[in-house]
Amino acid sequence: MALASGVAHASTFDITVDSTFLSGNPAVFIFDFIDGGPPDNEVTLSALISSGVPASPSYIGNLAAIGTGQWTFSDAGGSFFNELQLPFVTMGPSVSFSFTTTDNAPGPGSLPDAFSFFVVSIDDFTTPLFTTSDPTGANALLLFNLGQGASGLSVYGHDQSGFSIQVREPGVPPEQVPEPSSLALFAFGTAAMFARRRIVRSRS
Amino acid sequence: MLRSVHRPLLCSILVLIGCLYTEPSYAQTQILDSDLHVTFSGLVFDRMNNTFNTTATITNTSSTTFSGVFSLELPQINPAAVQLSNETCLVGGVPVLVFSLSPAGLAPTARFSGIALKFSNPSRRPFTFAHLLFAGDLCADTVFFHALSDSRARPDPDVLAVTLPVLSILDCQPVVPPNPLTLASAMSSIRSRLNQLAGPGALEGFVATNAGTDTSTLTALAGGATATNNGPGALAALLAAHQNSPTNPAHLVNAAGATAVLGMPNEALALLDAADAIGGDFGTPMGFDGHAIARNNRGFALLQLGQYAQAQTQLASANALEPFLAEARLNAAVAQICQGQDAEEAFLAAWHRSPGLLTLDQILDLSQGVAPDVPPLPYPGTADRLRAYATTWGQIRAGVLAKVTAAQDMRDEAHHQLQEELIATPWPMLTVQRVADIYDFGDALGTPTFDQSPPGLSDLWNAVENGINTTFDLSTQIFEDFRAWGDDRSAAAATCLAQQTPVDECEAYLEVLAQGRAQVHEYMSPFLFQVGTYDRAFRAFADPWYRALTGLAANLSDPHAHQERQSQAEADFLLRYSGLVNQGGVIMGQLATWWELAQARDDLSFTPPATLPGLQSPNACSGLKAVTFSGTLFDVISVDIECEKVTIDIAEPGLGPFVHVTAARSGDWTAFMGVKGSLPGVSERFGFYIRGNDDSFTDAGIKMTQSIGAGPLKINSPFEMELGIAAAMKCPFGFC
Repeated sequence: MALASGVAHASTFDITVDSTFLSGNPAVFIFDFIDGGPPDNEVTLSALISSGVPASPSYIGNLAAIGTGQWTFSDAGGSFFNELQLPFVTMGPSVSFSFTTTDNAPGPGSLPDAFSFFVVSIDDFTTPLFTTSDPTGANALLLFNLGQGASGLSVYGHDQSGFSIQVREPGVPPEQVPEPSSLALFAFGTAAMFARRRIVRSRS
Repeated sequence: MLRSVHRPLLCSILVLIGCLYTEPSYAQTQILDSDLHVTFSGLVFDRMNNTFNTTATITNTSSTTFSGVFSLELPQINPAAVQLSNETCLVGGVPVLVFSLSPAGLAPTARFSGIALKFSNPSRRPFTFAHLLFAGDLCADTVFFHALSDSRARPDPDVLAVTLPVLSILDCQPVVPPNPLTLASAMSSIRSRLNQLAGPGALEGFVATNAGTDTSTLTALAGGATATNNGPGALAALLAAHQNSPTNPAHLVNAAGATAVLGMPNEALALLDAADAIGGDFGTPMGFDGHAIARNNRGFALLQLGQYAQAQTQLASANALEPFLAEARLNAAVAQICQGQDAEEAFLAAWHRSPGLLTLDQILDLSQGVAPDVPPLPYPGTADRLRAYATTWGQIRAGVLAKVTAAQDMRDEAHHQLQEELIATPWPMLTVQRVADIYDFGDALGTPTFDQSPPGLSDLWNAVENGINTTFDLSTQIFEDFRAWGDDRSAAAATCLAQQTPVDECEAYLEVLAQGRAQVHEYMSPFLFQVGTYDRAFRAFADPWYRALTGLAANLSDPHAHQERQSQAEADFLLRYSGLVNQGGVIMGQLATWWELAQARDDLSFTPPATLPGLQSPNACSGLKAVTFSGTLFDVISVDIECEKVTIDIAEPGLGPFVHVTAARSGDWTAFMGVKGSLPGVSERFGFYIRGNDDSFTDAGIKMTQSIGAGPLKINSPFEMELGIAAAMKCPFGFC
């Protein structure tokens, strides 16, 4: 299920990820900024705040590190695919960050520029750890279509308990993707995660 | 939206044959953006599939509720290297994504989202695309076009060296100079000729009798008469059609073709001049450009008058307009030959109806091919089970070879029956040619060689050959090591015996045995890996290969011919499979013997079952829409094209005094027949053609859509018959 934040004209979002499910395990946070055509846009991602153990980040495309742990993505100059990969040797129980975007609407013939967020396996930096309701089938956890204000934000539901994303626009009450019930939480443990990851890999 | 496109209402044909509109108000019509507005999300990278995905959302901005199936077409993606990877089908090379709205429909102002578009973009470059939205399922209307001549092997240089001079002798005769005629004098000349053949006043009477006959019936008669060796009858019907519809230039174009092959080129040119003077729509019978047919007929008439250079210009123009008009290509080759030019390339280009080189799946309908059922081969997990598994693989191999023998026996029996059938009832040349083509393709594919195979088979076969080679090398290496070990074992035994120590107590001997067991253990991994790789490669190849072999056999309607090729397909497949089983079994046998001589005990507690492949056979010429057609047109002709067999009958009374009139024709003829519906585009989607000479049919073809129903079609008013008669120079040996 996709939840729009329901607030207009916002281009800054505070994100809190409850990562209890992944705590103590490795994972990779992936942030993609993909050019949909003119005009250009820019996304600034804050440093991630977590008690987990991060590894060295890597990136593709037009990214710049600003200060400590802060990154700027830009599609200027036709930079189509811009990706930041933030691995965690071990995840903590929560991660929080914020991102701010310019909000230029797509020109004629263009798609919206898009900022998306994934959590993938550290084994291959490819296999998503969650099957989400992302309608494109890419298993993104979050997608922000730039140029549409706050209505451009979609947070996708997923199939795993012990993991949730809370979005807050400054000055707006937070909204959260509901977790599965406590029974489901009991039924699916860490072992289930690894079992599912194996299934995903074997299907791939 | 980059362009506006008209789409055919194909169901308007289907109404005639019993199909009901499912979406009567907008079936397969383009939807205006002002009614259903399509927006797209930003791109998301799907790292599992390496695609860039977006979702389309459709908002109903009209006051109507929409429901049912829709098609999203992407007519343009820039750059071209970016492709839609999840299209439902390609229509004319354009990707189309078909989706259904929710059953409740899309009410005004409502949105429908979640239509995923996945783009392959290997170089990760920015891209754009244009889209068009259609109501209905465009993919259900994929158009088949198959021509029998496309399967013919091109002549080799030796044959060409004989053929081209014969063509020159046949078609470059000294001629009388042109004699330009007015339309009136041309009509008078034609009338005289037809009355000479059918009796005084025959044409006038026929035309008067048919003054009230609709032009579709007359053109259907003309097409049927052309194909049933009644050139004069065809011409009479076309002149009657011209009388009833004098502003339609297509009747004059076709009459010109019919006149020209009856040896009246000056009259044909006058008719074509008159058609040009009328101008307008020359028609598109089964999608063939009417103007191209007119220029071809003009070129043919000019060739008959020895005006080779002028003919060449007309024919080049015809070829530019209609790349599928093989008649124009042949005529152009003759124009070159008659001017002393090198015509080899032009002649070869005229050999097939379709331009360019096609692959087997494009030439024939392989859709009915079936997959083989190949049970998994059992592999030993440990060395002490090698003997048991080698035995099982041996049993499988023996069973497979027995099946090969049975399939070959069945093939030989079918061949014998086929020979008897041909002695009793010889086939027409067209059928003989087509069956021979399919046999040739089957022999090549079964060998296997892949000159014109479906795409991808060649690479899959390379992997199999690699498996054959690597497992052979492994077998050789094992044999060499085993022999060396045997020498060591003999030497150790000799040493022990010299020391008068029993070998089973002799350390030197026991060490050699232990070494042998270790070597067998070491070979287990390469054996499992290399034979397993060969096994997987064979299975990956076997599925499309056997589908192609059996799909090819299914193109034969004759039961004996079909049985012969089906049995040959089974034998080819099983023989290749036995190679895999044999290779793996040999290696296991080698290792098992080695293991046993190293005094290891056999574990025969479990012997895997020997399961043999099961092979199915598709029916002969069944379900092959692309190469079958049966129907009647305007109640005057009935046509039956059943794979390699082509028949056409005509309701004789319709031709009146011309019913039994024949006259030798000075060229070959082709009748393109289709229907023109009340909406644009239908004529481009349905039709058939028959090509021939006075002795036999030489080619036939079909253009169909998947959604045209099964069973005989009956085409009548309100559709209009479209006919194109194209004349071509005579071919040596009847075929080209």
